[in-house]
Amino acid sequence: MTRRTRRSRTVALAATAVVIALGATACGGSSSDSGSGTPGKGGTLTVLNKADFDHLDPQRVYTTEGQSMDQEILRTLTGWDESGSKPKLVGDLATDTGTPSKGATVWTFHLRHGVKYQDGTEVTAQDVKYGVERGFSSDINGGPPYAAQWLVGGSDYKGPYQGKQLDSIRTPDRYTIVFHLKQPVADFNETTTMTGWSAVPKAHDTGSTYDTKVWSDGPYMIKSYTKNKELVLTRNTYWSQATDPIRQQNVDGIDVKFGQDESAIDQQIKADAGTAQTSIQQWPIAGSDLAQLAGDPSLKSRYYKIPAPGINYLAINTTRVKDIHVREAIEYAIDKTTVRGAFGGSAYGDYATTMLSPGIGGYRKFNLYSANPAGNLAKAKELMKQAGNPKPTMSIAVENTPTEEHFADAVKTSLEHIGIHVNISPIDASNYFSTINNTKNQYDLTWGDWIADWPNASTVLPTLFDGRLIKKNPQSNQDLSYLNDPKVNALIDKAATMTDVAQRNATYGQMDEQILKDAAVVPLMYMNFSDMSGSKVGGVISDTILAEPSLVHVYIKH
Amino acid sequence: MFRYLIRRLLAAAVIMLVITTITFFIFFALPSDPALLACGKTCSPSRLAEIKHSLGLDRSYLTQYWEFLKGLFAGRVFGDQSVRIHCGAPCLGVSFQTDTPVLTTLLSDFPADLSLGLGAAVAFLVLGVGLGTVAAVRRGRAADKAAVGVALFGVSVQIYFIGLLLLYLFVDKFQILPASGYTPITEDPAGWFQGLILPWTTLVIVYLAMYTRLTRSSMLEVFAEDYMRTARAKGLPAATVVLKHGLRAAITPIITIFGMDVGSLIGGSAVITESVFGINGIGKLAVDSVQNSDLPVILGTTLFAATFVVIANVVVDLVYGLVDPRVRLA
Repeated sequence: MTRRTRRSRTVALAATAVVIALGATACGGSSSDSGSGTPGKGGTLTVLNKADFDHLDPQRVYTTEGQSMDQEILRTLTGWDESGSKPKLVGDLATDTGTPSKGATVWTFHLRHGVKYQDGTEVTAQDVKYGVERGFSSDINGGPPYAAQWLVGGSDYKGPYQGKQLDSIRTPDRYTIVFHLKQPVADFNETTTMTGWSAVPKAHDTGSTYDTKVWSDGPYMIKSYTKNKELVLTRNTYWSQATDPIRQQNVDGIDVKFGQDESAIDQQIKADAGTAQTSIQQWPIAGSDLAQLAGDPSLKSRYYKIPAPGINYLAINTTRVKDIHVREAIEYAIDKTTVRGAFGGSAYGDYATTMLSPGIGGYRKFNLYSANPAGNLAKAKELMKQAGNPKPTMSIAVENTPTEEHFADAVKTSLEHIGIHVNISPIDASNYFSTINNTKNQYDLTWGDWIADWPNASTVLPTLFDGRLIKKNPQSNQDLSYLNDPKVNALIDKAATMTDVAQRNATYGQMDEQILKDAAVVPLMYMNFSDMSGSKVGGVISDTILAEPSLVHVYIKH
Repeated sequence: MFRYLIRRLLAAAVIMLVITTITFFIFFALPSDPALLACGKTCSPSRLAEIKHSLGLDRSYLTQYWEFLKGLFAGRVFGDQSVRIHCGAPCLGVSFQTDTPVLTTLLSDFPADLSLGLGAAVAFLVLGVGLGTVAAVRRGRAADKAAVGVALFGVSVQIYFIGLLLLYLFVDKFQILPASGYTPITEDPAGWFQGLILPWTTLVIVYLAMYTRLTRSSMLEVFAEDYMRTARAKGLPAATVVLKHGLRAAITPIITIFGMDVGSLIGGSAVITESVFGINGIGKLAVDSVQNSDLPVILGTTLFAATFVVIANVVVDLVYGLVDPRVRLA
């Protein structure tokens, strides 16, 4: 279901309980060009999706499905080359990955010459500036907050439609763009891999209706787009391989169909008949089909298990569960084996002991609590004793889906062993995040998941655990633990100003450990997502940044 | 007759107004906030206020409702920032989610529901009444038991089960039919027909049961009437007795139910069938709009569905007059 709610990258993916089997790599890009047939030009790729994209407008899209499709249509300042074993940051519209100056508060990008739109005109720095600026308009809503957070003057700027420009984006010439930031942002050139940092020509901007009229500078352009029905992409003849280090233009066109039942899609692709042979899915395989499909050896060559830069976790509200011993006891008591079972078993992902997942810059392996994922009840009981053996009753917020209700049952059973009674609060799944992110609705325990916007701790820990943000965004609070630890906050400020990557990552590792020392959260699983394609689809890359099958090299086998 | 029609239509207009009002105010009683949904993560209060304003949600409920009603007759213009969206009368508003006029979306989805609903309705009416008649005539015999058995099966299975089973068998396993989806009849009549065979079959299996049972019991009741005995006694052929004297009298309650079913099917009530077979119709649109807190679409789909149910009811009343001379419309 299109649950493109708001932390959309999370939600769209979390919508389907994903259950995966098949052992595979834990992290890093894994190329899956396997199977018979030779790469060739021509043919049409069909994409079968259960729902339409949240947006294709580059400044509004915030689901992995939409972002992945946008990679076919448009180019960003920087991008990820995932054809190797590990994702590599490269210049996309820009010639390189950008140059920081003044302690990473000023970032300069030089644009490639000869990158062309679908009408043959050249992409200019002014178009990129305009593209970023339009994201500030309240009409162009839904996208990531980074531009508004970081650009000087960003908090007051209302977009270009009333004729005003944002002075902190400078374009000294047609091919140079300079961003002035309020604070040092060492990984700003990773932010610019997101679609918001792309060019929109003013003459072709149709405002809030741009979703269906995105002006292409990538290998494919929109031929027709009927919302909730079908998107047809065709070659952008002005696109040139010579200017693009990331994409290829192998197939003639891409035909995206929306609105089919997810099990019907799984069955169709598995059966591999007719157009299903040249089809692929972007939404993960339905939870109910996964165990069966993951274990089917005949599907192996067209089955993509993609480790996501994400975490499935249980937040403990530190302002309600004040006693650290009780929180620590919860850490020890929760049986992650039954929890993972609820989400689909070993296929869903590995047991997590940290908030940062492997593959994210700043990840450091450590485990402060039970070595056995089934928990350590003896230790947990001892901690409850130290807390004076309270017999608290706690609420837990979960989505009202069977998967999550099973999960809540697993937590309830675990905690009952140490004398904590749990009341389950199932919340309408499509309104889940808007409900729990509102500070008016607080629970003792809250389920959550999170996927990094780019593989760096800076898009995980500061967003989820900076307690100073709670008051600032009372209706969209992401700090589900309500943690406001001066030590963590100090580390966040320290990391923000650091420009040395190694030092910065070490600080994030420290931060992760401090958060776990505070027992503010129980990390549950590092997530995987799985998709399938038909047997004639080749060149699919497992995109570990978006946790999507990347189509940038896709071809049809003849 | 004409006066009757006018009266009915006026009553229908009042019903629609009541439905819109209720839908509108229930929406605002719900906890979800469309502006917050549109805003995205880490939404600052000031940004939220701007989005509320651009969606027009910062005005009083009554003002919003009045604007909506006015738009129905006079049309509206949306957006004051990036683009102006003209929404001509009857304007049902512009979707929060897709920034498209709701009526445009409804009209583009409607052919799918019309094809699905009408096609299935014709099939289940003919088959249901036929089976029911056979069962009534052969009461207690093998044919009766078979017909009732089929009906029982149909009423017991769920659409999503039957739908997926049919898909598995005919599309994936034996590959007799193409992968599902709706093709407009104007584009490819053969493709339109092939794509709808399974959805029609699914709906027929599920709806058939009720019509068979209803016809059977209604016929049995009529068979017990004196005039039926008279008809048989005066030596009319069995077929004439059953069809002309029996069925004509027995069919009135069936017409009532049929009218309602067709109205709601066309109006988008076949939502599970739509979603199993990937038909993007009004039912799916309605469900999605609720999930996205997309008020204009919720209102539009509700009003649209209600229109068809109301129209179907008026048509049923008119048909009554034709089928049963005892009914006088005045």
